Amino acid sequence: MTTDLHQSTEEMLAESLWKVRLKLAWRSFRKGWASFVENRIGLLGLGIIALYGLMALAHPILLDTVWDPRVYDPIIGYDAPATIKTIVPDGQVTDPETQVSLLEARLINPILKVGETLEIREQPASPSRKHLLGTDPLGRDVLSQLMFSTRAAFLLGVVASLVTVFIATTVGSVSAFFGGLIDTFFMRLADLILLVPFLPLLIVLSALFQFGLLHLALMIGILGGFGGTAIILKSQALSISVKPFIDAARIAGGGKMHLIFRHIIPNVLPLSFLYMMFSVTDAISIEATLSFLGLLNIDMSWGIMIYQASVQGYLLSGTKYWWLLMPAGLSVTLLAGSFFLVGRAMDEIINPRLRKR
Amino acid sequence: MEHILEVNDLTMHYTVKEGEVMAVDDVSFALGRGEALGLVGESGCGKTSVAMSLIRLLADNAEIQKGSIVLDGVDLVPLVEEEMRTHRWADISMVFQGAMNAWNPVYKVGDQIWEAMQTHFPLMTESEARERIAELFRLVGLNPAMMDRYPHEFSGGMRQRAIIAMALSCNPKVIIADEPTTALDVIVQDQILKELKKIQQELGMSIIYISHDVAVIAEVSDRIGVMYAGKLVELGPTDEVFPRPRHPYAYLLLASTPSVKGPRRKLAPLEGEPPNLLHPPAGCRFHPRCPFATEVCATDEPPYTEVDEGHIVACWNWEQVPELGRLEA
Amino acid sequence: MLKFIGKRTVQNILVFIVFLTATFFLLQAQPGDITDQFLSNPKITPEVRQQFAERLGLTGTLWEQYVRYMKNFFTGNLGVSFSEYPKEVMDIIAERLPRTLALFLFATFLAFIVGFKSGKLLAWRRGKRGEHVITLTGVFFQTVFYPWFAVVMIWIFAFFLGWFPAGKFLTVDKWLTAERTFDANAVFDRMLLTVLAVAVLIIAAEIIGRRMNSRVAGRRFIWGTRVLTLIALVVWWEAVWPEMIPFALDIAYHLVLPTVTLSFVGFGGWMLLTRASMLETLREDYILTARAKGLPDKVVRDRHAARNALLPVTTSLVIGLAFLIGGGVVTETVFSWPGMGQTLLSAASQQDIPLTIGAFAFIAVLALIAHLVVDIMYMYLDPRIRVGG
Repeated sequence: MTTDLHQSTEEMLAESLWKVRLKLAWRSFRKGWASFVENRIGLLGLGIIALYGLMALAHPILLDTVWDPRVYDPIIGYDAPATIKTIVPDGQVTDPETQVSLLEARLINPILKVGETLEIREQPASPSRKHLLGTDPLGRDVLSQLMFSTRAAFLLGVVASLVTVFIATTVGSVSAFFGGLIDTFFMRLADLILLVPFLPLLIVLSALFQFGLLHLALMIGILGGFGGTAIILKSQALSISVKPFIDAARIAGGGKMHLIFRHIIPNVLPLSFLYMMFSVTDAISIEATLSFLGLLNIDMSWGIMIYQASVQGYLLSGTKYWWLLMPAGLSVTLLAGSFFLVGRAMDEIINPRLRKR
Repeated sequence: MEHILEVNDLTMHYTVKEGEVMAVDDVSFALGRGEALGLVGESGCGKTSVAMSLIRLLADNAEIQKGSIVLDGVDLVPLVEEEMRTHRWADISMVFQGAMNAWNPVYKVGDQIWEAMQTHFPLMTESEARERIAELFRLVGLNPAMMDRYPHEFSGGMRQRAIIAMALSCNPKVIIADEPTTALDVIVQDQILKELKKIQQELGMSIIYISHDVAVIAEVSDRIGVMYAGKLVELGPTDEVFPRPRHPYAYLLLASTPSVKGPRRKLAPLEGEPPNLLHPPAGCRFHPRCPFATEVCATDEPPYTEVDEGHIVACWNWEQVPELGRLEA
Repeated sequence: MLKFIGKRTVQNILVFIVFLTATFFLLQAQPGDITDQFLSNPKITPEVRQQFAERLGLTGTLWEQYVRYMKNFFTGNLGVSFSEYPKEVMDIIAERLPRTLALFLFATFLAFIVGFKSGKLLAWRRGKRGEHVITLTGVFFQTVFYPWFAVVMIWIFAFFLGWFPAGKFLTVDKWLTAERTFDANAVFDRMLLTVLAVAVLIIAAEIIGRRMNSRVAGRRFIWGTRVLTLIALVVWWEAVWPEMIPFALDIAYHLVLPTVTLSFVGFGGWMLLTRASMLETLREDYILTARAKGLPDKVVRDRHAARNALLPVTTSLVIGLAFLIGGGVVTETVFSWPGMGQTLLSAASQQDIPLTIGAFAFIAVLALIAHLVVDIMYMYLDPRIRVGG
């Protein structure tokens, strides 16, 4: 047994260092993956994310092949199924599929008479074979909008979370390592950001400056990175910077930058990655909420879909126009929730306190 | 001597994913009225499991599989939870290890004691209870005014004294003291042990001490039981077991512990680790570590042999075990 | 204890000053001058525009502007609203703040109580069936797209079931047809004052009762005060403002659905958190002690486990509050509830900068006070901080 160990150590030394690192990383990944699979809830989240990923990828392909852009383009497409209906006297409508009352017809054209026919364009149209999720008040395909917006959601989530984690990891590690004034400054800043309500702040900012998707992603990333996430990652970095191997590296002559980038940050990274998941959740919800409130300068997103339905007066129309609100609302909830579930599952693996005994 | 507590063939298992852990295996002993019995062994040998079985505070995956715990004529094993609840503290109470965390940090110490009395003596008035707590505090050497303080205002030793006061509060028939002094520094440890012994003798308490520390057990108990891997391997009067242990494990355990009071002797390290109780070794559970092991030890479980009156040992080769090596000054 | 509160208050005021400074520089960083947009507004003459600029402190050097801006803020001179010209920003806020306060307070209270109690019960029956269902439910409420959720709530409870009005602050017809000598704000302010008075009395009784040396007498005192307060409440309204009662009930009826909806924002998170925190406390030694003492399960659960699980939950209350304030903006919009959030939003979308900043500052003050309250609450709950710690 002991000889085995020696041999493997020698073998490992013979390999180059990065190979060893890669091997170790792969091993811990496999171990983590095994516990992740065991946690069904995390897997469910990952499945939903993959499903939306497929939708985002499929959209441009569909537009290139099956879908006619004039009809299906999420922003400028147009289609309104027309039906020809006969005008009958008020109160004598027996078949609403083919008949329309005089009163209703005159709302469209006041000179119409009983017995004449009228072409009625349904807009928003209910789901049909041509438009699986119907069309919106402007005659655009809802499914196409939904799939198109998925890409925006992913883009926003990834950019915002990368910025968050990049800033928070750096700030956290640097504060933990240097302490003193730097630490105090960043931690007070984080407290300040935490104290100010996030959504109202973004409302004010979007009133002062016109926000596009990328601006918003950066803003969320910066606020998140200097805010709560920095505090959490700092405490993690702090617990690492007092470990013996840091002292060992210091004694071996490692410079400050070397210590931070080679020893502290790599050990904070798993937790950073975890908080990336949570910040994706936040970014998606915030974008959707701001779009819903009509504050963003964006062509199309899930939030915009609901905003437009609400501007056109369909917000409280009950279940009658469900396809205007349900798909987009559910998508925001599902995708944001899935990233949260993945984050939770990772939390149970990475966080020793939560690990199953 | 009349027995206040009789434990017969107590067997308790934990069910885990990998199988069954035999934490307590066929343990039998009796506790006389006013007697102090010490249970000693390495960590993980089942001492605390015995204690928790006695008061029936077991984890969800634990089950008493057989045996009886007869406390003053009542068998506790078949009782339903609600009946058992009325026996806890009123009849059998505990002095917990780690005095630090045994107190709920958000309530005053006196209130936490009163809570126990209120549960078991609902007719007791508040002033009576305060009177009683003050009396108990004086008994354990605490200022009665401390009862209106929070646990964090107590020092470690004071907390442990208060724990003892709480254990005494309902006049239990038996007290289990599980590592009563482990978390304390040596001087406080000694004071508290003396105090405990004094109280036990004054009030005629029946008490079971549980500790990994042989010295602690030696100081306070009348009889001593040595546990190994869920089994009681030796049981006898302290004055007999200490100078002349008969079980190889007891021998090695004592030989590895310096004795302050007894004659000076050579210390021998106890090598190896207790077995994994998921798959305990066949035969005698100590045989893989035992210097006296023979073939029979690996196959057959040793029966109890009475080596002296009231001194039993479970070993095939107990006669081989020498006297504790004495080192000439 | 007082020292602690004083320290926190000073800290919060400092934070607010930093916050105001940051807002000031944001305004400066904005391209152009905020009064530029009124160049083409016929209602506002160049002279008025100049007045605006002076009142808003947009003239003079940067330092002068800053000093004037801060001075104006602390003297309550927030300028004139552009979109509701010529109303003073301060007057608009004074009218709408109580409504937001009510929504926020009730929703927080409801979310916290329900979240805590359900989390507690779920942790207690740990390891049993439905673990995944519970987690998924909690996560659903925590991450649900809130505006959409609010709309769905209106569909269900206002349209489908018809139990509650779909929005608005009051039933307009009822108020217009009735002969009355008071307006809605008068009624609402009295309602809010009543609730605050009741809350203060009950909390004070709780504190005094716990301080009493005899626990039995303390408990009697607490319950006596609670009952007496409720009786006094009914008697007071019947005697002093009898004509307002039907109108007060009308407003209360409109308040129910938005409050419940908003409370769901905090509920999921607090439930999951309580459950996790409670599972942690259940492993503590003092739980074992409590069980060994033969205390009934309910006492072990409530008095020992849940009481300690409350501490970390209270700490994280702060983050939940930020969510609730954000959720409040959306709730007010969806339910047409004329409060600060709706004011902020409409001001922001109409580029009414003075009102936007004013509303935002007051929302920030609300958040700061909420944090202060949470801090004090935590201190009260944890004797290790309260006593000598």
